[in-house]
Amino acid sequence: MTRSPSEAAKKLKGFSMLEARELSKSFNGVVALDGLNVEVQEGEILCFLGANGAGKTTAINLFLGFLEPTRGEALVKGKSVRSDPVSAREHVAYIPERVALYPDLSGYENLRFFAELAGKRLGESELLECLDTAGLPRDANHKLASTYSKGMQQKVGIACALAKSAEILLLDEPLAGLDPKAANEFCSLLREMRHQGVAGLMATHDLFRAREVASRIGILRDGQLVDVIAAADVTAAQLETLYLEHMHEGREDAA
Amino acid sequence: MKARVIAAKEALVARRGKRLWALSFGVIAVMVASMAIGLNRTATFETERAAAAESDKAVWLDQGVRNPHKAAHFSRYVFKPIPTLASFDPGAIDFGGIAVWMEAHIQNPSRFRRAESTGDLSRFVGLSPAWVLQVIMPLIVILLLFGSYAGEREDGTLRQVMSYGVSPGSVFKGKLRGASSALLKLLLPVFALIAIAVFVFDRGYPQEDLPVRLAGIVGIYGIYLFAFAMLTIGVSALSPSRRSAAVSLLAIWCLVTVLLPRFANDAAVAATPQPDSYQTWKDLEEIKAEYWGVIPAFGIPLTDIRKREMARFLEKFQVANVEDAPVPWSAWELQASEEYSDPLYDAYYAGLNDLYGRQEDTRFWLTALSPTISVMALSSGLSGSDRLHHYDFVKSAEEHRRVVIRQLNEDLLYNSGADPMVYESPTSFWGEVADYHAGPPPLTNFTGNYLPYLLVMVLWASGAFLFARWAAFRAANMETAV
Repeated sequence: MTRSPSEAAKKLKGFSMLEARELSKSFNGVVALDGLNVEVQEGEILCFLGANGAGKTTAINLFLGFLEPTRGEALVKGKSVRSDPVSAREHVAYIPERVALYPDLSGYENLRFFAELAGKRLGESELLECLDTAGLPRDANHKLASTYSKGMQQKVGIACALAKSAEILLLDEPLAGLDPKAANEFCSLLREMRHQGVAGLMATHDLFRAREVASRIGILRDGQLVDVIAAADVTAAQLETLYLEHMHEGREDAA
Repeated sequence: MKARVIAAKEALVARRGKRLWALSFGVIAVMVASMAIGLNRTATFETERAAAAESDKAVWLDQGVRNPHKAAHFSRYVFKPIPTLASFDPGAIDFGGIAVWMEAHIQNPSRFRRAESTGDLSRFVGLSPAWVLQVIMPLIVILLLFGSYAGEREDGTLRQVMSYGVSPGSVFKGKLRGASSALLKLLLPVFALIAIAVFVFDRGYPQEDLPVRLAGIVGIYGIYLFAFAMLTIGVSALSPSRRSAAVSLLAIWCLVTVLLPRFANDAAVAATPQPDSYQTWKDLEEIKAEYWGVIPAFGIPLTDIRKREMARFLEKFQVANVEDAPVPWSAWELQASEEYSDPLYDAYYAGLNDLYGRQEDTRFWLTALSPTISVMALSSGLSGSDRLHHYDFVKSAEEHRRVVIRQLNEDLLYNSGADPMVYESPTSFWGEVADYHAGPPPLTNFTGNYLPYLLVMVLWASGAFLFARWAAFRAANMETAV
């Protein structure tokens, strides 16, 4: 089941919505991401699993153009993020651990603002439909976002992605802190979006949800992609075992 | 397009947040209070001035038959017209004196300084609409905008916005539009209030160029507060949190609007000390004594100057003795002494004015550190309450004194016969003596003096804009942002 990183990279070849070529990032000499080669194609969600500091968030930030790579290149739909981060972001919806909303605006107003930022002039019914699809309770649409739970904020984040008609999702631990019901609803939405052709890269600690949502699962350790597994090929228990093995190897290497 | 969307969101958040309303209400309340105080002060000034001028004239007209030279010592006051816009910015009016006593032989300094007759508490607060705009409004701007970038960074919304493919320039433009719109919402009612107060309720001496002056005031305060808005956005963009932005900005506000203007005044006086009132009095007495010798002049031997003047007198009338001249020498000499000392007084007061000008030069250099110093100078200038307008009054009052004294001396010269000291003018003569009618000078007299301050304001606003833009681009770069 375990493959070498080069095999893993090969397996992912052919995807083109997101592409990392020898993508590396160091902070003050400390390597956060080391030579990542990966491609994600339409209708695929790649989940990165890894301990804190493994390089998951760094990879997402490099695809967003929030960080500049030390070496290599991140591409969104074939365009270099480094050379034109603004247009690269136009294809992407970013959902972080906590979707940031303007607390003095309602969920609806937040959605309208972000949709307009994405250049989408949607009518009220279309915006409300996005919120509906995202699963936000209707009576919450016009309540101030300051009153929202984390789950509700994440749903507005999904609604924003729907309104943007984003082709690519970059999800940075979006399930952290969600209660099981909210996490389940969130994952259902992601699966649905995936089936509609949306590509995604998700960083998470949650092995079980990762398996549920992803097409493929990549394991990052110390900035390196050490394995890539097709989610359908493993059970949750096998994935856990695999993951722990990799983490254990990492500790042995360090020793 | 994206900038417009961001600007609209900023406006909605500002309205929803209620902070703008609360601050607007607070500003209007303080402005109404300060304007009421200003209007009352000007009205009181003008009422007192009119009453004093009327009483002074009545006393002058009712003095009965009197020797014109005694009348020249009894003399009259010239009262400074307090301009309409002094209600908005009293400037140096409290410190410059509001009346000049016209007297023979001497150009008296202006007197009745309001600052001398007010209580100790008045030293702590000078509440005027101008002060509110100079000191309080920058604080309001800071309270309104300190979270502009810092708050969004703290909440994560800036990152969220940037992830939508918005360029740093669009975010900055959106913030700029939002800030300008908020600033306009704050300032429009304030300026409308000032205009209504000045045009409808003010009882000050009318200024013919009032609309131009008012437009200038709106312009300079617009530039000044725009500079503060940009400074606030810039500091907010460089700060990691709302709290650190607020602390930094409050420190800057305190330094720029409160401490530096006071330091500038102290530095100016330390660099160019001014004579105290006792020294001024001594200097003026010395000028007076230059022609007449030791005071009193009576019975004192002729000074060289008097001897030269007598020689000129004898030559003019082609006589050997003063007694043979067709006009009395003593009356001639009174006017001659005036004409001798006029340029001396002109030089003395010009020197005093230059000294104050050098103090202002010192203050001017400190405008590089504080735009408040510039706006203070421009505001009092546009209001007609600064040193330059006061000096114009001093010169105008002196011109009038010379006309009046010449009129009195000529009455003595041509109507007194052989013994001027016993001659008495008839009562009807006092009505022939000219009244003082000059109003506040036009702004165009001083345009050149204000241009450097205006330039500094524009430089401050431009510099603050560039700083804000640089900081905003830095904030939008997630790698370099704090």
